Amino acid sequence: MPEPLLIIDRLCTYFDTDEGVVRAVDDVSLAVPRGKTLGLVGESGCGKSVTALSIIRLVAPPGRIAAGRVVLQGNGRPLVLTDLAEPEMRKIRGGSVAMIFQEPMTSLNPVFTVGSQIAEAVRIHQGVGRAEARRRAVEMLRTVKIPEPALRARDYPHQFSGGMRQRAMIAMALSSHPKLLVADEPTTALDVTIQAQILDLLRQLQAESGMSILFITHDLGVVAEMADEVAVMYAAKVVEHAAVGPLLAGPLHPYTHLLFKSRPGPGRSKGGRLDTIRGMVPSPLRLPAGCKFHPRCPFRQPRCEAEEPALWQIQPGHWVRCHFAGELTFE
Amino acid sequence: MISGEAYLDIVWRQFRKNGPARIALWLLGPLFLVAVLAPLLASDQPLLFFDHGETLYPWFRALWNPEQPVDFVFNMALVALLPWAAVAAVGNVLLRRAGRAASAGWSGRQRVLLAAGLYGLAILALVAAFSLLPQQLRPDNAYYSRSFAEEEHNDPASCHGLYAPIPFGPAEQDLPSRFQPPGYRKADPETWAKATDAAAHLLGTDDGGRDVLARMIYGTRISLTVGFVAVGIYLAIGIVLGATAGYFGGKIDIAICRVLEVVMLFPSFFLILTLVALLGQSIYIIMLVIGLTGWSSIARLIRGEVLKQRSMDYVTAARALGATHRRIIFRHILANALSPALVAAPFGVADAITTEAGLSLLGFGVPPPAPSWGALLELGKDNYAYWWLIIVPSLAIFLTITLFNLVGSGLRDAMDPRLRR
Repeated sequence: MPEPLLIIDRLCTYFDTDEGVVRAVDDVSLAVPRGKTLGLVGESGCGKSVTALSIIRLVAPPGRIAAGRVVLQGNGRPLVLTDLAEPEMRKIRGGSVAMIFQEPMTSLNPVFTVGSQIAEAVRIHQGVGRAEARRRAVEMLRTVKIPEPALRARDYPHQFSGGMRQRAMIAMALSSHPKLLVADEPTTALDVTIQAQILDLLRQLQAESGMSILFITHDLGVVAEMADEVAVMYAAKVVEHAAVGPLLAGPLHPYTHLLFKSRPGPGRSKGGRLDTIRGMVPSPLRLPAGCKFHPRCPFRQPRCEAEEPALWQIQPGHWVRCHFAGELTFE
Repeated sequence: MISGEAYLDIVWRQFRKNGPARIALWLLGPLFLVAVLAPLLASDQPLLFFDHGETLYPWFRALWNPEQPVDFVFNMALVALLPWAAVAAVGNVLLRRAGRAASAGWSGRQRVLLAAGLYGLAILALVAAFSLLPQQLRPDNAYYSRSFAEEEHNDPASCHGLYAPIPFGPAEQDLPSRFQPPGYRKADPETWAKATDAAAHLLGTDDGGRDVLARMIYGTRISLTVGFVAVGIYLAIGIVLGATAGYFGGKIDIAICRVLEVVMLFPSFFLILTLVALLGQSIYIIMLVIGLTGWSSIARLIRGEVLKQRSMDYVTAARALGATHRRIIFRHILANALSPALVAAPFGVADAITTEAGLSLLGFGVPPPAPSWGALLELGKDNYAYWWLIIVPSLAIFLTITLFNLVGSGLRDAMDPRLRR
């Protein structure tokens, strides 16, 4: 099996606030396989976005990468992103690793045309002249299936609809043919039909270019559609990591199981109560001892409060962070 | 859907709907033209002078050797402006004759290069003409004019000249004619020896017998220079420092803000008074001091706007694309943050003009005999009998400041989205 494209090795990203140190990402290890999609799922505040920002080192002070490494396996030589000097990191951003964000409405500068912003991305990384950059920008708009790309390139962001804006963002991100695309909830702000189109587009572009995607979302349906592997995060840690099929069919961590159960869907009796996970996500400043999920876990034991479970491989390719994984029966 | 208008297009459209502001902008054009074309309007040197078979061009030479440094810059602008206008006009006519097809084959860049090339050639031709033609400057303005040469001289036809419409210079002294009211013309036709003796002083003379109208025209140059250079300095400093403070925050922000607070306290007017008392009168002191003390308000405005913009998603997206800090600040953020500075600029120019006039009124402004409007006002302030020295400069200062204020106010309204029509 070829080695993964991106390895996140025991990454710790902490924020030094007045009330204390917030561990937004705590000992997270992930691997994004080549040419495939890794889905990163979790509730708001679990650390998914900070993990993504840490990969390209866009975490603003008072945040800092406190420990761990991020390694990009390029062609041959592995590149330790966490050790790079800033000028080299700038070449990586938008070059080998591109990122798209949740809000396409505000991710584009309102006072420049869409075409000129894509052309700017091209000029930063490919060093071509203005005319050539514009030409490539129009090509990228065509690639993301925006109709009449030459005309639309001269429009301003406010003249694009939400879906088109996200396509434009994707065009910008892919203009330098990155090896890894980090997508931070790119379809959360779009309606469902547009979401489907965007996901289709991403899948197609991935098939054509062979790039890997780190897809962050809290929508399990999107994960089912897009991801080849899934990692579930809770309270700054990875609690389960498996291929998408086995995970959806048989989650082994109580949190994952409860997440799946809490989704409304067909097959439930009308008028019945929705299943929820009891309790609340803990404040990052007052994390519980031992397993971070134990206060809300219906299967908790005294050991869960005493000892934090490690992430262990319960089956080949299926990792869980729970003392009793495999022994529990979920209904 | 809103049509494809850029932000500045929208602002321009709103600005044009504002009647007084539009008129003010239209009137500013002639004001600039008067400043640049001043030697063509009023000069003591003849444009052409024929003297016993010899043809002289003293006006051209005088362009290169003005007395005031301000004049040199404007004269160069004049030299550049006329050939450019001629080339543009000729080029337009030629293009229209040849039809659009002729220019369609040329790209924008090629057209610019062609225009620059032709224009450069025109300037070279002009400079060659200056160097090769005889341009003797005669002392004490000993030029004669056609109007009386035929009567006075033995050889009338061989000695005449072509003068500017106002045949007086701003520095041309004539002590017997001092403090004469508008309409004064030298009394005795028998003793007319110079061309300028025959003409009337349309706005009277000042304490040195110099023509007030000529001095007013050249005074435009001083006012506009002080206004724009001072504002240019403090816009440059204020934008850079404000953007840096707003974008980087932290210690840099704190340091810049403390400096800003100190600078804000400096009263520029009194600082200039002090420096002039120590170092003597100079236009540079005025421009530099206004520029170096006025940047604080701009910096604060820009800092506020940049603070708003830096947490915008497009900044994060730009960073994720690998843009450098410099690119993000000076391209992305400033494009969104410049509006308050643009609005403050015309008011700043009006302010600087007022300051300069006030300083000259007190005798601390540009060194005499510079033709500042305030200096003319100073001559009139002690003696109301010289009413033309009070009314004319005051009117000019008032009108100029009003024009800039109207433009500034029009800009402010044009940029306010709530007033959009």
